[in-house]
Amino acid sequence: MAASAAGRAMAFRARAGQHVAFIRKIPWTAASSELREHFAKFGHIKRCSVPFDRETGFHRGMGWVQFSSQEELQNALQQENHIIDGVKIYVQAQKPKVLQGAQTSDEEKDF
Amino acid sequence: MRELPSQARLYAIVAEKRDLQEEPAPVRRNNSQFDWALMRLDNSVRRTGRITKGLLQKVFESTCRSGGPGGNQALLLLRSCGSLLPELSLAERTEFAHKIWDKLQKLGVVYDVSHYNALLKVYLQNEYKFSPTDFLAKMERANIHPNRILGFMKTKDLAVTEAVFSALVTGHARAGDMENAENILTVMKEAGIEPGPDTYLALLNAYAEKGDIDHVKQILEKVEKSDHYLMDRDLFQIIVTFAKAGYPQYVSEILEKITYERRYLPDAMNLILLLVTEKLEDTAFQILLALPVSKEENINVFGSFFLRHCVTMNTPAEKLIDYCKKLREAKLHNASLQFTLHCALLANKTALAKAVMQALKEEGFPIRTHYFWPLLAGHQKTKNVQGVMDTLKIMNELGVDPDQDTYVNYVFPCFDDVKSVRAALQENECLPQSNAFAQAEVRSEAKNGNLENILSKNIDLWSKITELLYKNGRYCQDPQGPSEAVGYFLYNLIDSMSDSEVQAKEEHLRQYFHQLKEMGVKVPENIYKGIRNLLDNYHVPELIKSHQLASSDLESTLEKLKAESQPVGDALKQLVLALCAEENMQKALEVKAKYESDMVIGGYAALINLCCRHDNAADALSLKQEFDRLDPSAVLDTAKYIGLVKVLGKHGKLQDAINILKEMKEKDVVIKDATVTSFFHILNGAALRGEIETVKQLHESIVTLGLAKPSTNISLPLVTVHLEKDDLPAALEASIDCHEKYKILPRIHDVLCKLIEKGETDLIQKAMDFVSQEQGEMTMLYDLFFAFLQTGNHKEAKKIIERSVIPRLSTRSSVPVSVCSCLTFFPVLNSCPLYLLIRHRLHFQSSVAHAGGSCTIEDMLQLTWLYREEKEEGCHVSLLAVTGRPLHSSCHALLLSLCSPDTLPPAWELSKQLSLKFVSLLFVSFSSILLKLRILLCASSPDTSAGVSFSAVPKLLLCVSESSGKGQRLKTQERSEVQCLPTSSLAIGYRVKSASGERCTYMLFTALTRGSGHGIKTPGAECGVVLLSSAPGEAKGRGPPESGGQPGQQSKPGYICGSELIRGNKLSSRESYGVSYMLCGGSVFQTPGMRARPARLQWFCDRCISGNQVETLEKLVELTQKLFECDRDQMYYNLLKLHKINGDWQRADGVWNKMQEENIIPRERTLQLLAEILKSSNQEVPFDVPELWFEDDRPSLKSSSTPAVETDTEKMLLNACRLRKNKDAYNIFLKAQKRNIVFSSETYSTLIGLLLKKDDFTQAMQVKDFAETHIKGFTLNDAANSLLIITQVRRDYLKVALATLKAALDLEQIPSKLAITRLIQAFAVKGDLESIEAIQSMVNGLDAIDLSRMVFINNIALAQMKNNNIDVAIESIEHMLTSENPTIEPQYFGLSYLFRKVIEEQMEPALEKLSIMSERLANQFALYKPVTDLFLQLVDSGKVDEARALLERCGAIAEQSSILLVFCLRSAGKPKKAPVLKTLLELIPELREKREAYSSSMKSYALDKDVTSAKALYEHLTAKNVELDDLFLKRYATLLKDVGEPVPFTEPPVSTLN
Repeated sequence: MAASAAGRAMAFRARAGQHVAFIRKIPWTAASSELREHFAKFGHIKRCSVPFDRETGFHRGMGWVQFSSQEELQNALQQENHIIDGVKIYVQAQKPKVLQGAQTSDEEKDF
Repeated sequence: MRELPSQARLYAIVAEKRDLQEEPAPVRRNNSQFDWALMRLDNSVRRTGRITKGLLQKVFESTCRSGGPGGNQALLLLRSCGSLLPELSLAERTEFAHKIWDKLQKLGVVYDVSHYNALLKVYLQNEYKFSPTDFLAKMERANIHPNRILGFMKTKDLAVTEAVFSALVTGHARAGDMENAENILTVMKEAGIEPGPDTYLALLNAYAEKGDIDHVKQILEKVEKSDHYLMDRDLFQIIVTFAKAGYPQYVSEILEKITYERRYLPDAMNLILLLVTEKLEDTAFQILLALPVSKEENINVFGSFFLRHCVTMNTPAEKLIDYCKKLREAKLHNASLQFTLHCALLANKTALAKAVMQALKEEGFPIRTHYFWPLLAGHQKTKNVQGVMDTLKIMNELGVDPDQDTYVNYVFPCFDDVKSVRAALQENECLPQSNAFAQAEVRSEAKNGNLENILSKNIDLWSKITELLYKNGRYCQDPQGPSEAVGYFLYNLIDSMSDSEVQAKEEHLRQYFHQLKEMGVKVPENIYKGIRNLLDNYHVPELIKSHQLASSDLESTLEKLKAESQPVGDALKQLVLALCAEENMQKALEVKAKYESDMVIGGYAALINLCCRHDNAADALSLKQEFDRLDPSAVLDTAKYIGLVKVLGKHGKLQDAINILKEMKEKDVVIKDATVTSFFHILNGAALRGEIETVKQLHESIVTLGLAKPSTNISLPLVTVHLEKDDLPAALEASIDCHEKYKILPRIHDVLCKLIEKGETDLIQKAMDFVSQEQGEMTMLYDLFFAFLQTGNHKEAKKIIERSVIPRLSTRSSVPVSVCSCLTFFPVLNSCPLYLLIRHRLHFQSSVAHAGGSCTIEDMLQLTWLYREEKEEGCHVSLLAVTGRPLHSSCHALLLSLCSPDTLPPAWELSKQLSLKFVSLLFVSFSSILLKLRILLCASSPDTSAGVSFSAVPKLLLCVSESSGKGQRLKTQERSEVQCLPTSSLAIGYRVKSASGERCTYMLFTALTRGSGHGIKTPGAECGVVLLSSAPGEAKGRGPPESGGQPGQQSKPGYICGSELIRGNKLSSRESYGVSYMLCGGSVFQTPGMRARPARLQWFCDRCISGNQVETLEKLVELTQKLFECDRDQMYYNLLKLHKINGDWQRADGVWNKMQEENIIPRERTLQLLAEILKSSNQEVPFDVPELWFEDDRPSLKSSSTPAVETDTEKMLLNACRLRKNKDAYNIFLKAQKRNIVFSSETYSTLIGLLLKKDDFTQAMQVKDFAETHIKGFTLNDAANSLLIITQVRRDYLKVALATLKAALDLEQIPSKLAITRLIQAFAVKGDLESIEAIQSMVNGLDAIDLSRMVFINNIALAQMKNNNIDVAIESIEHMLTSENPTIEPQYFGLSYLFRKVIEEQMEPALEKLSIMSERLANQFALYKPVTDLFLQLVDSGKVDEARALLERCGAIAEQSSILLVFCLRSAGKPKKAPVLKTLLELIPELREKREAYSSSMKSYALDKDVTSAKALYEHLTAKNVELDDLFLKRYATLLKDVGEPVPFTEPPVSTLN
């Protein structure tokens, strides 16, 4: 279970730089489908995720939306206010941290 | 009783006033814990006017954790428990206050009147009904006298304040006398006091309580017309009163009057919360709606605090939903229902959540699946299957279909397997129509690795699932998705299998992977690596190969694609990656060259890394350049950058390496701890290769770019590089350079060691000067000490530690600073000389017992010289005593210095520094004095030593004074005093002479004079007397100056001892203080005392342990023996750790002996470690049960957990207590007592406890008396009181002991069971029935003592029998045993103690009657416990015949095996019980075959070495074919071996004995 969650996070990191928007302050009432619905108007959404905390059953107000193209991402970023369920959410571009083909931890040790 | 509430209110008022006065004081205290707590609470109050329960709880807990909470913290916490907690009901608040009160009291807070006032105030705020009389009684019990309150009340001020009248108004009103309440206003006016808002408010509240709106309105109008003004806050109070008294209808009329000033908003919110807490939600809501809120656009969320609190307080759902709707309609809160639902979900309130969701649904809002997750998560945590089902039912009712995630994440984990979920769902009719459940089932099974459930052994099925995942768009909507989905599927599948499973199914997996390959399924690289790691872990590397795409395949694919002119990017990347994985650099580079135009970033990254790995700097660099050209913004990952830096640095491409570092900074590459470690390795590698420039420049770049902090670690290579080349000057320079740049001194220890080895005296001097100057002398000494130890120069190490063994007052840097800080912290000095002497166990302690107080200079000098004489051998010690008195209003000045020609330069330096500090205080400049002195000294060279006449001293003194240009101001009287002074100096001088032989050489003095010129009228003069003496070459073991001396030492000829006294004529204990230095090695100013620095010592210990340097560590432990404040146990513990590593039990055993010699009380862990070492080498452990030490350790633990400011004396005392040196501890106490030093209560309790344990009763009582008279409300703690009782009993002070017990119980202490039992038993033997009964009533209901009722039954009976009331006693026992509802079950009715006592005290008639009683109980009532106990006591006392007779009369005894076996087990634990057990087994032979009995017997026989009985038992048992356990056999075998007999069976292994 933990492995798959970690794997998913890793997958997103791996894709960083590929038109991913990072969303903050998502109201508790919304989950990934609401996010998807909201961002669909900016372009084709490849992936959308709002991780939930299984301990509490709530999400932590953060999520990621991956668009097909940079243009679509820019569309989304350019809109000033994003409101879901009456609450303003904060959208920003995911900062590229790791290059594609990021290596697994075993390579870290190899210097 | 009627006036009591108002009286109580007065206390509160007093408390309030006190608050105002006292508040600032504690804030300023330098107590970070307190500051933190205050700040948090204060912030909360300032911002919101309230404190949340959580915050208070947090502050409270952290206060408790901090160990010794202070009185001020207690006050702060208590005060917060009243109206500042609107979210708690009144009762809860009081409960909280009580909790805090009790807990803090337990933690040792001593309450004073301010705490009682705070509590009182909280009571009043919380309307807690309490009896003021009881309250006062409680205070008196605690020795708190409410004098201040009463005193305050008596003052005139109180009589006329408005507050008093307001209280009277409330008092009358509460009594129902409104007329008189109103009349108070008239009385006030008559008394000349105009009723103010407070009085009116009291009256308003009184009417509001009665629901008299008319009067309230009248008064409000009256107030409006007057010049008074009621604030919103006051009106809120009236509202609360109306609402609480049941008149909510009038609230609106008051609300109209409210101005709604913004600053009262927090008050309004608190009012609302309070009303909700009081279940007056409607009123609260009414006020909420009335509040002025800016209604902006559509993002309003006002009222959340109200809704949240309603949820917490369980406001009915309908009401709450109604509020929500109204809030929305009023446009106050646009998501009120959702917010409430959120609160309900957070609080896991299912019913409310359901109701709110229904409301949401009705309103047309969507109900989303994840709304139910918090509820499910809650149930899942408790594995509440029913709860889960109920939630699913609710979902069903609300028409929400659970999705896959719901099942997989929240439902399945509650069940053992998926099948039972299906069953449960079916049963509850919750099985959905959709196929979500079925999908979830599959997903879950795969995830849990229950392959057989879904896949059995059918590989095809796996493949089909995979194919489905891969091809079916339903599972992944984006085109790149499938490979990822499959990847995760595989990863999860393998991850969830155990390694044995994987190994077992290796063949299946191989086929599966093969099929996947056939199908053309691809897995992303990173996931593939994850899977590869998994398979690696499972030790099935063959599987990896089967799945890995061979590079050759890829290459052909690539060529094919190229030939077909299709895009090759992806395939190329695959190929490059594959080649990289195969470490085939050559080929990879070729491929890259061939398809250069198709290369992508990822391929380059892998290639760069490959080249770095293969140390191919050139290609790595050019690839990097190509990479940058391809995409200048592309970022490599950290490891690859590090690889580049490493390879470039290694191949001399320094600038390129630095460029890479710069790029890392520019591109903001993630720097982790591991990265910093990599940097170190790069630098260290270069250092080992001796590349100075590389190390320097890379280090510089890394640090200046901020990629790593300039830590000691990362800077090590800077020094290493020189050390490797044996270039010591450069190494030292590098280290010093680091200090100048980064304030660290890397590898100074190693540098020093090398310097010592090479004998580089000058460099050592340089290093030491630097360290001393920058980090203080103590650090320097430690550095030197460790270096000497490390290099095996033990003698030198010893000198350092020994000559510095006397603690200095300040551990910081140089002498002048010490002196200055001494001046500031004179209380610390107060205890110093004493301290010193005790440390050195000087037997002339008594002569300086009064050192702190009235010690005369002569005493101090006497002592100094005595000390020298005593310790002639190796003594380099003298005392420099300085006493002083204030020279100026705020300063204690003084000074002194002493010098010989050799030490004049440092003295000169010192004097300059001092005169800078004190120039305003002393009108005689030190420098000028010293200048003169220098001339004088030069004149009196050693050769003319004898010629320095002591009679010259006064002349010198005058000369100095006069020549300084100020001397003329000396009064005649003062001059004469100065002239008189040398008499004592002379005496001393002669002593010196005789002590140090004929060659007494120097003496010198400085004088300090003060005159009236500065307006200080001092009749009489003060002068300083300095006496110095030195005898070069005299001291044994110290060479003449020309011998050069040891490195790092200032080997000056001989040593100089000096003392300086500046003395006023009105010395009080506070004004006088002594400073003692140890002066040695002729360098007065370069030798501070060393004291333990645990961290540094531990550093060296760890170093020794990791380097396995046994001898060095042993030396360290040996040399630090006298080091001040050295944790000896810790040192030995380290030594033992090393011995354990080496399995060296002989040395460990030696440690044990040394510890005893040194009289160290080891901690439990030390003993355990020692025991482990010995045991593992099959050695006997020479001590038993480490637990015994635990108790001894407690006081020290306690003392360390109270960080209260302890003086050194107090620490010493506690230390002595810890070492159980009762005499020393008591002496410290005595001296402190003389000087009026008062310790903490806990310290006294500890000391008293120790004295009592050692049976020093009288001393204990003296300490107690002192503590009681000096600490307000001092009481012994529970433990000390219990010990006191035991001691009193032992001394037969029974009545006093009873009083002690009573006092302890009155303090709500819990005395120990042992103490009470001892006292009862003592009374019983005396026949003092009355006292026993008194104790019984005292402890009645105190379950915490855990006193068995049998203690009373036995002892009361014994007392009665002692009084010859045997029949009464017997009757009473019989009655208890045979009554229909026995209070004690017969099997627990143990009379053994009574029987034993009666036998011991030879009370024959009683014994006889008891015997008859026991038999009767057995025969008539089938109660065999008494008779069996009696039988056993007879056996135990050796009355075998009586026992046998009893057994014959009552055969049933033999069948009471449980009682008999318990007796066996207990007896076996005590020594010398072998005969008893033997007798017992003889009397009741059938017992012998019972395991407990024979084991116990063997244990006893072995313990008492009774071979015959053991043999008989063994033979008996083997004859009976009893299967004997290892423990039994081992014991027997050991016994046989001990007496040298053969062991007739295979001896079991040792482990059985543990």
